Amino acid sequence: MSTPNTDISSALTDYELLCFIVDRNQSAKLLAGLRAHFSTGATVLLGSGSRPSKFLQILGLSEVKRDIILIVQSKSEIGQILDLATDKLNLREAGKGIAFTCPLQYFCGLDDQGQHLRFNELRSTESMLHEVRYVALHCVVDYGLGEEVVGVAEEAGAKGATFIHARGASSHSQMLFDFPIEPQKDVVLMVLETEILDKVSAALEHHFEMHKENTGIQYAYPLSRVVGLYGQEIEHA
Amino acid sequence: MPSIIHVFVTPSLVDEVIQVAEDNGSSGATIFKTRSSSHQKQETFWNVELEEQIALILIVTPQDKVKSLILALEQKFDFANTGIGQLLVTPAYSVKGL
Repeated sequence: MSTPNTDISSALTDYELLCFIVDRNQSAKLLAGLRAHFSTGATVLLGSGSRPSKFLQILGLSEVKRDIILIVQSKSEIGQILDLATDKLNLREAGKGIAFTCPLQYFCGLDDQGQHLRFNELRSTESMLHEVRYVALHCVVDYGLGEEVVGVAEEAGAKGATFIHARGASSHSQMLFDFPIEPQKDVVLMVLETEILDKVSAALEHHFEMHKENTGIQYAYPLSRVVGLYGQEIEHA
Repeated sequence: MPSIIHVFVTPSLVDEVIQVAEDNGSSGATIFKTRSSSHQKQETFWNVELEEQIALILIVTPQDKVKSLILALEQKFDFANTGIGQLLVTPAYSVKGL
């Protein structure tokens, strides 16, 4: 086992979380390319989305299976990975997928190239939250309410969403014969412009009464780079 | 501003992670099933790539509790040395319902 590299204080600003949301039939190609060109692995979540076609919705064929691919990587490698993925998957075209990066406050473990990595300290969020143009909003609600979340968000200006199934664990969980009951959850992920975040967030909070206990939770995190959103590429340094 | 702690572990360790989180002031977590795609050549079984199942646990944590929770998780699982998982922290804002 290689010795841990703990002396990366200079690299505190250098690592980010890269996320791809692509159709499932494209993700194998992307993962193989990552392995071959960058010797990097990834963590993959199963998700689904919907195609914006009323005709397909009527036929019940609008749901599309998606993979959400997470990679922790240095900024310089992320730039190269995004260039490769953008070309291979045509991310600049609308509807082909989306990629975004999020700054990290802290990391500990093996990075996706198998190197031991540990930040020396928890990084301050001040610079990360400054002049953010895009955010990823997560809304966690009970199973079956995901479509409702998307409806409310779209009325408030959001365009598109990805659904991920999850389960919740809470200190207030009900118990059955000493087993905690972990309810199934729908997690809806939306990439939004910061300008409409407050409106979408307030609409969701109002609709699902999130001020009450166990009705849902939402949070957003800042994005430093977005590719594929409405066919654009946006970078925020 | 709160932070989101992401913990990637094998599914058998999920309950322990949740317990550590609750012991350090967290009120809940969201657990996803994921699979891991290795940076090395994948093992295959009859041409099908074998991918390890991983659990991703997201814990939204107030900023004043982040350090203590990170420390508790590292002490429990020693992510930096054992390679049994990863821990990463991203900033969050506009948190509602917590």
